[in-house]
Amino acid sequence: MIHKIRQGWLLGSLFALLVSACGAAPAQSWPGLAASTDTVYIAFGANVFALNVADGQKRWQFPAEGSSGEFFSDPVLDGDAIYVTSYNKTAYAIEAKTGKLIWEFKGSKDRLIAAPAISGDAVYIASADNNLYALSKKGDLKWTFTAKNGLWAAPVATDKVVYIPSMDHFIYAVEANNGKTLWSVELNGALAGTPTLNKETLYVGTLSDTLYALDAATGREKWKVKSEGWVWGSAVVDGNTLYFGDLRGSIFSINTSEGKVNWKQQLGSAVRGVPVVVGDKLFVSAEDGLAFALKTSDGSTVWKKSIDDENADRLLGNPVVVNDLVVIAPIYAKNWLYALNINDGTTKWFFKP
Amino acid sequence: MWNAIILYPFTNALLLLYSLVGNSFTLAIVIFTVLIRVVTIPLTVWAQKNQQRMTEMQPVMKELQEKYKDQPEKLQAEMAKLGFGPTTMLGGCLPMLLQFPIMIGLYQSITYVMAVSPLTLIDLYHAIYPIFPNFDQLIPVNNHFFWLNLALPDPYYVLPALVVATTWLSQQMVTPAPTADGGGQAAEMARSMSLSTTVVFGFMSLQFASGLSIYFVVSNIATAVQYAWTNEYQRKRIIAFLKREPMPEVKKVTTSKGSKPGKALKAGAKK
Repeated sequence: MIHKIRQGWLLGSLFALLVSACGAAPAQSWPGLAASTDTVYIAFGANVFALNVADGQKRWQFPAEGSSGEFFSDPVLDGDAIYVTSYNKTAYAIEAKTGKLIWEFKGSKDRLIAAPAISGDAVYIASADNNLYALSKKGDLKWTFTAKNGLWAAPVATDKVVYIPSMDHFIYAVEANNGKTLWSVELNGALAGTPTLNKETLYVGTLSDTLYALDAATGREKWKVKSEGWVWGSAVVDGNTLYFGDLRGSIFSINTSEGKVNWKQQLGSAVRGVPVVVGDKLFVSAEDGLAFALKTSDGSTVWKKSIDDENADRLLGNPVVVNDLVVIAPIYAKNWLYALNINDGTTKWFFKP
Repeated sequence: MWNAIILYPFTNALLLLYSLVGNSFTLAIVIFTVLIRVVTIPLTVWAQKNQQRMTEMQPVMKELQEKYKDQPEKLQAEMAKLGFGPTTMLGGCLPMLLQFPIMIGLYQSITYVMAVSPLTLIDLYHAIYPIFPNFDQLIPVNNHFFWLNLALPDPYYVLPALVVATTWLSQQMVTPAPTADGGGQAAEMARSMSLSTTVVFGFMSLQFASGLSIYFVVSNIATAVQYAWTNEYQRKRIIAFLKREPMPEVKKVTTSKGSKPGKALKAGAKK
């Protein structure tokens, strides 16, 4: 009898767990990356790791033991500190050399999906609770700005103005001193990527297949380009040319003065990450696990690298170029991070915690 | 295969429903869950009848198992005479097996459409058909309903309480009517399974997004109503409970020696 009762409990629990577990995603987002000349930082899951650029050896991890949260956004390096946000509603300032906690901010009521943004003496924390929290570099709250929906992308900040993209389809420009709205513009879709500010123009992609060029002073539309899929990653500007990818796998080269397409290249799967320009090459990653080096002149492929791992799909984070390495971090690969030779894409080292 | 046949069609249908009911995700979950339940009624009724029949025949089958415990082939032949051959036994499980992927798909599609994290939003993007009208304008899905953020657990524990109550209710309805001898070990097993399912679902609703708790509540209520509608015994139990009358008696299946099990089976099966 006891055996049957146990069996019943086991079956019931199994049934309930099966119904729920089949829908649960193992990760909520992709790894966040940052680099200085000698260190690569990766934020993924329970920890932030600092690795030696030369060989991928671990320097420290945060927290040193156990877990502090769920880290997915790109860490931001500023002076002797790195700033990183977590899905546990907390933002952290950590000593860049040692990984020791400097301060933490726990004022958010929802997850912190976006990376922090730094300008002058301010640290900006965008939250899924609709708020942008402006902190001092000591972690004190200065002011709060509230949008109509969640903030999934980091703002771009100058000493005077903070530009805030929101999932509510608006981009807001607020005063850096007090958070008062200077202007706001409704675009045709949600904004999940950080805008790019270049000279007097703000470039912002939307989840409605469009990239806008806006006057940074007024928000007025200068031009827009229709893409083939959602534009999630930020654009990158190099001289008079702008590059961005979309979730249908296209990468675009655009003339910044008129918004005309110079060339377009299809990479085969979603381009979520922000491209990186180094000299005459454009480094970009695609969701199905491929890293590319393209010629900036016409988009033709210089090299492409498939991670040597059949599970290495979902390459959605931003690639980072440091020294002679292109660093990428797929989600479901055997290793968390791959450092590729910038010249030919061969793997120099990889990291697995 | 799973995505193409179950998950993506469900996800598109749920999102379309969301847009048709004025961007209310809660209402979309309720309607979609009920619709799926209505479509799968034939499967549920089939499963229910098989389950009830198996429960009613437990004493007879036990009797045969004891009688022919050293003669497995003979036992199999006798069971087949009663209509419980290997194929029939497998067929009895089929309705449950068919329902299961539908439930999983329903649950997954709700998780997809809520798109509470960057990765799930990209999954949703890949799942939506290119012909879907105004998909971009529906993002982000409206996750608010009264005090609830559907992407987060209920801070006031109202939904977890409702999940526990409705899971218990639906498990009571799903548990087959007891046989005249109380069902013995099978009944005990069903009772413990019912209790464990209730406890586990309650615990999960404390941790999970409240949108999923809404699905659990609606699904449980739909199951209870469906069983009350299609199962005469359960209907009588509810009426008796509401009128505060004694619970209805169960027809006794003849199991005494000398009686013909086949006749007992037919008597039970006709109920």
